[in-house]
Amino acid sequence: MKKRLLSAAAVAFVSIFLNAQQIKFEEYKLPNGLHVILHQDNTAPVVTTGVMYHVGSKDEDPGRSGFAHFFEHLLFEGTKNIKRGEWFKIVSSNGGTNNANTSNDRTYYYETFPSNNEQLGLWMEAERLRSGVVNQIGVDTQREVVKEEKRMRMDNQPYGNLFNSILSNMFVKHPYHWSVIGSIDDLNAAKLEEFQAFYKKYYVPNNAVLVVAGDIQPEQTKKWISEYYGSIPKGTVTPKNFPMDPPITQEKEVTVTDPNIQIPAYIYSYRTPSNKHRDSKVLDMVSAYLSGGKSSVLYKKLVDEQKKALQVSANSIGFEDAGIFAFFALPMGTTPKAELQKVIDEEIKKLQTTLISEEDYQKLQNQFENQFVNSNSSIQGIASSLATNYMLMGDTNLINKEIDIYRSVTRQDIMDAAKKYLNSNQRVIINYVPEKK
Amino acid sequence: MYLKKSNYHMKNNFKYIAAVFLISGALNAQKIDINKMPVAGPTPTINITTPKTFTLKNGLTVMVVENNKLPRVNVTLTMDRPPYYEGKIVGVSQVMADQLGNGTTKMSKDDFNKRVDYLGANLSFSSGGAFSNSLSKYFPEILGMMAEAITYPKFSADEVEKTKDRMIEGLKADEKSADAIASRVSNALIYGKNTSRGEFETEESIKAITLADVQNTYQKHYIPNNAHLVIVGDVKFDEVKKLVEKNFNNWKKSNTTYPPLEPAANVATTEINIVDVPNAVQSVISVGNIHDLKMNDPKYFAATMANYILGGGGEARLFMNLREKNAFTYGAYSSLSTYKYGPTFSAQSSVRNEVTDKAVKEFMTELNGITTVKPEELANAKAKLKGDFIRSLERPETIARFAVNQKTQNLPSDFYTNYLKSIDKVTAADISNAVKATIYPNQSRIFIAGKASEIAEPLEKLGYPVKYFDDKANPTTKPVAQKVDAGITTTSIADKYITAIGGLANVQKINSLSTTALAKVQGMDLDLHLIQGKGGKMMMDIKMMGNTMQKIVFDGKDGYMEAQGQKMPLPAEQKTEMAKDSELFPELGFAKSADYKVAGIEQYNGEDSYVVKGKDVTYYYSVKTGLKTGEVKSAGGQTIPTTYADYRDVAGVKVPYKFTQNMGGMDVEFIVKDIKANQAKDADFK
Repeated sequence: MKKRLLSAAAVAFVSIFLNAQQIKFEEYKLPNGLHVILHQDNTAPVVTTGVMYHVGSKDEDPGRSGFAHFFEHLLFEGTKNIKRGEWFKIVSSNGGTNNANTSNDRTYYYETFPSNNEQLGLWMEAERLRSGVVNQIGVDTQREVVKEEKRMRMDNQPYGNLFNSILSNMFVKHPYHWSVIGSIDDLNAAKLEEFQAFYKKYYVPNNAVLVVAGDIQPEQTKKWISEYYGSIPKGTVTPKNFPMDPPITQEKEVTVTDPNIQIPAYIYSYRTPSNKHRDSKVLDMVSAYLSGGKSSVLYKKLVDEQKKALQVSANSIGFEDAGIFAFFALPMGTTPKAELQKVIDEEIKKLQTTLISEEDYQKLQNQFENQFVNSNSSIQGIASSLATNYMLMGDTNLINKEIDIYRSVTRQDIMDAAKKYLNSNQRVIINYVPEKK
Repeated sequence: MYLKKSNYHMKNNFKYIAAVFLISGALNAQKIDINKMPVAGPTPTINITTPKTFTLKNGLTVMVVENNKLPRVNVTLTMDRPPYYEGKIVGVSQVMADQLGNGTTKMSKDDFNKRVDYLGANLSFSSGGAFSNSLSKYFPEILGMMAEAITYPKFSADEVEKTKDRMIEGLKADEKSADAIASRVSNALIYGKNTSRGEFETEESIKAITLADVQNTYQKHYIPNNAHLVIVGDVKFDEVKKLVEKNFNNWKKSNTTYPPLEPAANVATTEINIVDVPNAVQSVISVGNIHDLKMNDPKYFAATMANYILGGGGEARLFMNLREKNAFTYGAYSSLSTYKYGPTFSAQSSVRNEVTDKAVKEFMTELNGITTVKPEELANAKAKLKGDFIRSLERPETIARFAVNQKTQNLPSDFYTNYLKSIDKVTAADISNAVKATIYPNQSRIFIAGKASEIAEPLEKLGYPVKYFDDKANPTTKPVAQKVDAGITTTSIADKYITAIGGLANVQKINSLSTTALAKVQGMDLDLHLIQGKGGKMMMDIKMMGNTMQKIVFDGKDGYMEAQGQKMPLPAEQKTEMAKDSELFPELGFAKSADYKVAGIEQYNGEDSYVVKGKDVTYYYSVKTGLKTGEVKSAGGQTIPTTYADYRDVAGVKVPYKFTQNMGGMDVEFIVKDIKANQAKDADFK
């Protein structure tokens, strides 16, 4: 009880301290529903323009896995006023860089230009939202590119499909069941009309957030935004309501094979709450305690001292609707799985019955603070954080407040989370083994 | 009531009137055509903060850039001194640098590292500097730890030996690497191998380093004279000044003087230098010259731009030619350096053996062609370089780098503030002049590390003088592809081998060989137990740390494999293959078999060896001794080379007591503990 009070006081004190480093921003909505976030920082003449759409792989229809990511590729094929093949040339010949990425929950596109090309960045993203060209040649071309990407990143990589096997086993009812990259069959089945319908449904201003960060003059930026985005018609956004999987109450074990590996991997995975839930943050700290760095308990025991594992890690992953906590271990030589499991189970037990030391607790706080500071170190990073916090976490100001949540996590919270989520009857064990040729 | 109404009315009117004014304001401004791609605004004015500077009595210049956007601090220490000749102990500065992280005279290595981790910070050292990154609240402590490590380093004979061993391991790992050989030898040729800029580490030079040498190097060269400590981040100048003075004042300066650099010159006329790397499947090509362009030369910007157009990336001429057009390589680039103590230009690529001569031709075409650039190329280069510069300003470390450059490169005070303007001003004519001052296609050294037996002849046909060097930069003669004498056949090679190992009678008496051998992989013991019999019978068990990693058992007809605790029967094709090796000594079957052919003489495991090519295997036999120097087997799409050495007598027959096999890209050397002949029983193969 006393400890809690102290923590709260410490938090308050630190918040005052941190005021100097707040990421200031303003946000507003256009009449067509487009949410806009502006962050002004005139110290370096750089501007990032990004648009995040609230559509990801979980929005896909069964039988069309990989659709959202495939679509992301299509939106580089051209717009009404940007010819096919011109997108990247425009960016580089104007001194900029750009990229995009798709996750289970959202798709994000962004450009970073020297600030004298802010208007160009805004125009390009507006073009994408207003008049992206979705045609057969684009579909045919990008279908092959995406299939090659799947081969290069996953099928040809040792352990490339490991994360996908975790998803498919942890989520059965929920669309997190399938991977973002999709299956070759589904990619082959995707049709042009479906992409055009997808564009109309999800790529609408009231399903998006526009973030502009860097060396801007907000009054001018707002004018441009109004000109370029104001006339894009509003769409219809239906609230998302995906079937949730019932909690796991009985341990399950499965085996998955991979032809690219010689050493098996053993995964112990548990279902955890959405990343909006405070427990998600507590579990982040649990994972850092267990395997963050060479002095962490699992690394020290299994890799360093006992030399039983080649690699071991505990990972806390949060999505919009749910989360996963997964232990991952590569055995050394022919160390049987049981020996790795024994140590992992021991450490979970310890966490459930003993508070971690004050020294370890302080080390965690230092590590998370360091991470937090570095995550806001670039305009590009800030833009992405602002958009993510708004769209997926429901609170843009988390960019400043998230560290407070970590600071408020106590040693007791850590013990409680271990007791609540990491019991062996709540897990799926995945034996990810070499495929016998 | 009436009044109110009229007031409301008036209010509304006022509102509308005001609104009219607002709208008219907007209307006056030009309405944007949303279909038109915007034109770039004027190049932004860049703001380059000048750091606050002060100098300590010991000569250390300290530059502080206050940037409190984030609560973190980066510290970079650099030393501006010319290269110096280490001579017999080349590598000593590297050994010394390695010691600086090993704690201090006041704090043990473990405590030191644990504390840095606990603070969530980074702290590292090099032979001419140091770096740290930390949250601002831990900055004073981290700065203190950096200063303590530098001022009170702990040097122990033990740790020095550990470092030396690691460095020698590193050299060994790179022994056959064409890249490592290229980098070392090309440098040695440009500057001379016995000069401060051209010398390189060898096993001898590292072995010769003593603890006293390390201490001496530290005292003479790791000094505050001409050193810069740049502190960037969430700090206040006055506090930092006090901290630095408190922590760094005890760092003693030294009166070390550095002799002038040994002179270096370009070749009088373009020549090709070849180092033979017999195992190379790609040639590492580096074409270039030295120049004397300084960063403060007005031609600097044009030269940088010319280099970008020539080979600065995936849109540049070298890439488009050698990769996109000709598919010679995965990438071809060029670099222009204005390094104070050794400015150079070089164009580089690794290309397939067969196209080495063609690639050289294309390189020279491009080097000659870069004097002229197209308007589009110039415009794109400007946009790219300006964009890169502007975006780099976001990082506080950039400011630090600028500040140090300004001093050490004697840059005009407005060099960086005018950077964008300077780029904009460059014309095609400027490019031409800059190229003439930095790129010399008529005085280029075309350096190639590759398989001479394949590339030498075509290269000699190009018309440039060709010189040969060994992998230690010593001039040598052209490797002569040795001709196989008429009369050498697979039978004669097999006969010589059988004779060399003990004669046919003794060899025929061997029915089985049982071998135990030991290897060390990444510090762990690998135990090999191998029993081989006639008819392909085999039992092979490889254990690591006492646990079976891989086991294969075959009794001539059937068998199984075991790996990672899983057992499975041998597939049919593998059984057939294994049964084919009916003889323990395949040479006994050369005479009768049509599968083997003599394919020339090559260097194998350091010896000239006859090459005998079979279907899935190539054998090598020493021309001199007749003993088998090794073999290369193709299995399951992989090539597995093995070398044999240290032949010793076992029951009248010589067998190798040392064999090295390449497993998964790593050379694993097995040292035989014991070999017994004719001890195997049938049960061993079950």
